[in-house]
Amino acid sequence: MSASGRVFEPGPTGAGTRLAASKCHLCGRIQFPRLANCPACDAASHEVWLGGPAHLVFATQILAQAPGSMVTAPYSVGVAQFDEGIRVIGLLDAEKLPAVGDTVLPVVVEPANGLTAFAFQRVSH
Amino acid sequence: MTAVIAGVGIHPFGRFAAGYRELGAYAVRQCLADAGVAPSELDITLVANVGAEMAKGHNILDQVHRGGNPIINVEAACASSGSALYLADRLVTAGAAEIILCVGVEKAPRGFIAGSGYEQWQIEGGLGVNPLYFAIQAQELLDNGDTASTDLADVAVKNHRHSVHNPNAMYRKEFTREEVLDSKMVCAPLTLLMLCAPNEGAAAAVVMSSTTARRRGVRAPIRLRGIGLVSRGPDDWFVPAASYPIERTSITARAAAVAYEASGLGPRDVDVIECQDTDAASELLAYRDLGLCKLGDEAALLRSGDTALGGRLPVNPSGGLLSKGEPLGASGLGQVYELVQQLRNQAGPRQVENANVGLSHVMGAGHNACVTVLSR
Repeated sequence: MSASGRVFEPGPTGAGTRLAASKCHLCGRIQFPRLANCPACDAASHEVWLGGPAHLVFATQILAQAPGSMVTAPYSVGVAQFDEGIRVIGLLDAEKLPAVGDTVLPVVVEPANGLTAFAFQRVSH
Repeated sequence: MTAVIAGVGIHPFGRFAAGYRELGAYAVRQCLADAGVAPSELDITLVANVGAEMAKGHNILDQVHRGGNPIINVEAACASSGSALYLADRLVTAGAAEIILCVGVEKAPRGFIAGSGYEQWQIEGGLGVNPLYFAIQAQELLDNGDTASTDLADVAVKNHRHSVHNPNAMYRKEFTREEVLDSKMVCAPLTLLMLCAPNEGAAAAVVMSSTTARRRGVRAPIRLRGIGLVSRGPDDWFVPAASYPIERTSITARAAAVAYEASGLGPRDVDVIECQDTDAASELLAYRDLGLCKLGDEAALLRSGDTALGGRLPVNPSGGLLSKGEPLGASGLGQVYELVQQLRNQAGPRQVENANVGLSHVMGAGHNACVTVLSR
């Protein structure tokens, strides 16, 4: 099942994208992926798009093949912190591989044949 | 009414040719013999397991006795057997049952744990990797305090040193700090020897009221002083969440608060702890979340030697999951087995001196945590 469209805005490989999040009308908590209702207070949420820029707070490599993964190890993953107050776990774009502290943007990648995903890409200076 | 543990049993943790039914039945027989309870006397059996088939508990108990009383299967990831113990305590103290058998059993496949609740896009996209989550929290610990990679290694060194004396552990070999640091990198900053291995095993406990135990003349019953079982909260971060809030809460701290309040005891009253050292950083985080030290003092507590055997408050004298391995459904009752040995003064070379109060802590995907306070 592709995440494109439900988890992030679809687009061609390499294009910038936005992550489909939600914000609670009542308490303001942000959820990614998007939820119709806030799990904290059960109030309705509205759509929020996480487009960045964000900054990378964690980076590592997956060195062994994970069960069910279409992405072949080794590959890089990280955590990006968005100004909206949420940290998101995602792939790191090998073409413009970010390091911790870098400013990043979410982009569409094809990490395996037939699979589109979002990844965090280093913003060129 | 107070509940007690009247007997315990264990099948060693490791890799075995036998199936889960045989592993479970082995622990059950040992446990019933230890408690002096006949299988026909069991009012309810609670069976904790994550990965086996339908009617798993029924298939285990069929090896021992087919009595017709309720057999209930319990699943809460790595907190499964803690959850079973919680239910047993609640049922016994409410007077809903007199004698309950709790069994935990697992035959986990080798390698990364699958089926942790990730969405398909996370699995296919290579993000359904449990050690990734452990690595993120380990790195945060390294970034935000005075914890160093050598401290992560030293948790593994300590627990493996303890395991040499535990015949039920999978790995009973000492490792040096350098061996831990130089072992294969799995997911930086965590190396292979800083992570526990999912494996196989079983453990069991018989729970009954203190009144029933007295009437039956149970030898050295262990009191269940307080159990805190909590699940996913709105600001927790957990496997398999794809995101988390910048300011988040600790499920372990919430479970510990419940257990301490129920028991009337606090961290300073505890003499021995078995905690969820899925990875080395998790043990250090447990120090803080269980109230053993302040935020930022986790590594200092380890370095003080207090949490090693011979120290003020030994943690994981069994060798912990790092040494025993983690049969998911059995790990919590495995901790309880160890604590019962300690509180009975029967732990041999790994005995903690003057152990009167023990604490068990498990935490699992989903997200669930169980903290149990036991005493003589």
